[in-house]
Amino acid sequence: MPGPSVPVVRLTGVSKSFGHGAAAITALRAVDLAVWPGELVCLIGPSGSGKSTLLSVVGGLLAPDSGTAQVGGIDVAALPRQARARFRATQVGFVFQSFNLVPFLTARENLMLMASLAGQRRAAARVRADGLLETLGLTGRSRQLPGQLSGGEQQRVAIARALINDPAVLLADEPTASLDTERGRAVVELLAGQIHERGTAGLLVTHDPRMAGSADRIVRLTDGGLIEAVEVT
Amino acid sequence: MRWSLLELWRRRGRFAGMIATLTALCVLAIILLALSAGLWGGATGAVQQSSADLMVFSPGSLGTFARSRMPLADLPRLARIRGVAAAGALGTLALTVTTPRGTVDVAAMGVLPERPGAPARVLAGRLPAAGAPREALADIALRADGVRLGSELRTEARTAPLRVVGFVADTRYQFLPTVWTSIATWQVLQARLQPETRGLPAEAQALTVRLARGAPPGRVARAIGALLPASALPRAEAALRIPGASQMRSTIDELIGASLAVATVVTTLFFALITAERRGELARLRAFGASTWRIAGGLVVQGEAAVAVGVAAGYAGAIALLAAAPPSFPAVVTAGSALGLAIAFLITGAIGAGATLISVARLDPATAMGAV
Repeated sequence: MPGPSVPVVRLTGVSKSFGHGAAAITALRAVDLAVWPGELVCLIGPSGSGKSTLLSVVGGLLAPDSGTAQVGGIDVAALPRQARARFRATQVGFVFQSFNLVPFLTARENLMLMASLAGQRRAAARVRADGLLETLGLTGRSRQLPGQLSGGEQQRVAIARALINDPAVLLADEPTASLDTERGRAVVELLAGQIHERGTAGLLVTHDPRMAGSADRIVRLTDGGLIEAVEVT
Repeated sequence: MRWSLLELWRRRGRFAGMIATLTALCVLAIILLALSAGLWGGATGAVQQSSADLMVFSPGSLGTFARSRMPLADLPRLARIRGVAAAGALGTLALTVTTPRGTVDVAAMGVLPERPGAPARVLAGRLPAAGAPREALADIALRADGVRLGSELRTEARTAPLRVVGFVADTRYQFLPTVWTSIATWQVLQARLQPETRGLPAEAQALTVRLARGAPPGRVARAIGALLPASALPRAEAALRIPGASQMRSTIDELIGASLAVATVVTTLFFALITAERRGELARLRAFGASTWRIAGGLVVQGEAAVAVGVAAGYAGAIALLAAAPPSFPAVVTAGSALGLAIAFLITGAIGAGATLISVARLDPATAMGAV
């Protein structure tokens, strides 16, 4: 896809194994990948192919055994522990499979919690949370607890939560797994729309190839190796 | 931190069990505290309220009134010691008196009028006059037996009745209400009730000292020990030597300590349990960029708030129970001790919730993504 000359995410020769000796499992094998601003890359592949590991490396949750993972020009693994936590709070938005909203906080409070982790002031965070909820069609639901929202609404709140700190990269791990096809597709379209609109780099992991239609590029991972890249037109 | 308080409020059912347990422990601890102070006051009040700064006991008496004998003849020498402002005498004796409502066991306390020994503060009436051997001060507890100013108390020793001219408060001795009379009257009572003491030189059980302003008690006590065959103890130390008093207090204090230990275990186990239960939620917070300190701080604030609620409910419950207790129940709660206990409970909350710091620090944020 055409775009600025500097990718937001750049993985160079990233390898990652778990365990030692004969029991070691290679999750990522010399992966090279670049994701550009406003680009949504869909990672597909069977279970255990390394998709979640790849997201974890980009998000600063795991350090690669070899190679470098850069986000916004920063070598994430080289950051000290506290700086890495700060990096995650300010530069990365996470969307999980099971929504994983904090159950005792309202939709707005879930967003504001994330804003507070990034050091946003309360009043400003509140305005921003309300704006995001409105953008994602959740006006009037901001004071509802997650248990009072439908699955689709919860996932939209999760997307809003991931966007509240204007992250450089948005990482979505199977965000449609808990939704039916129609709602899942709507969520992915929403995600893609926000990524394009905000110029955020997006990595979407899914098992379901039907959900990949909204992505700009599809990357297939098999046994930790990136074997195919498809640009969606 | 705000989020942890919101959880406490919105998931109050989850915290209710712990708060209820803490409330029960707090009620128990406050009642024990009140009982401890009440029993301590009942055992030692007469000594604690005494106007004497030092009490002088005979050697080998272990500082107990019952085993001590001090001749009154030593008073002039005692009064001349540097740092001694005044010297007096004190004797105790178990006695049965007849009040308007029947017979009551009391502790007869003999003191030298206008000398250190008698309670420092008279609640109502006046001190007995010098040269008026029948006049006495009575502990306010005797009002429940119909004793009033001007009441006459007949003694089992068949001496002339004692006339109450004043009341003093919190002056029980070995749980008996006290009647304070002159040392001369006390000696007469003693001679009647303990015939073996008849014919002995004039003596009391202890001599008493009021220190001159600024005189160091330790130095004066050493000077007394050097001059007389005696040992001088500060008033608080003399109270501790009353047989059984300190043992009783330490037993109750151990019970209070046990309640606090149980409270610590309860909060520690509770927070260990809910931290284990919320591992996924907390790992996601770590993944989102929350620091260990931020999460642990939130848990400590949550623990402290839960303990504060439990303590407040416990205090309310204990006050209601103590208010409903019969007047004979020896309970005393001071603001200082109540505050101290509340702080101790808050510390247990901080320890209990803070103990989760280790498990929070071990949380791997990567588990939030399911990659490990």
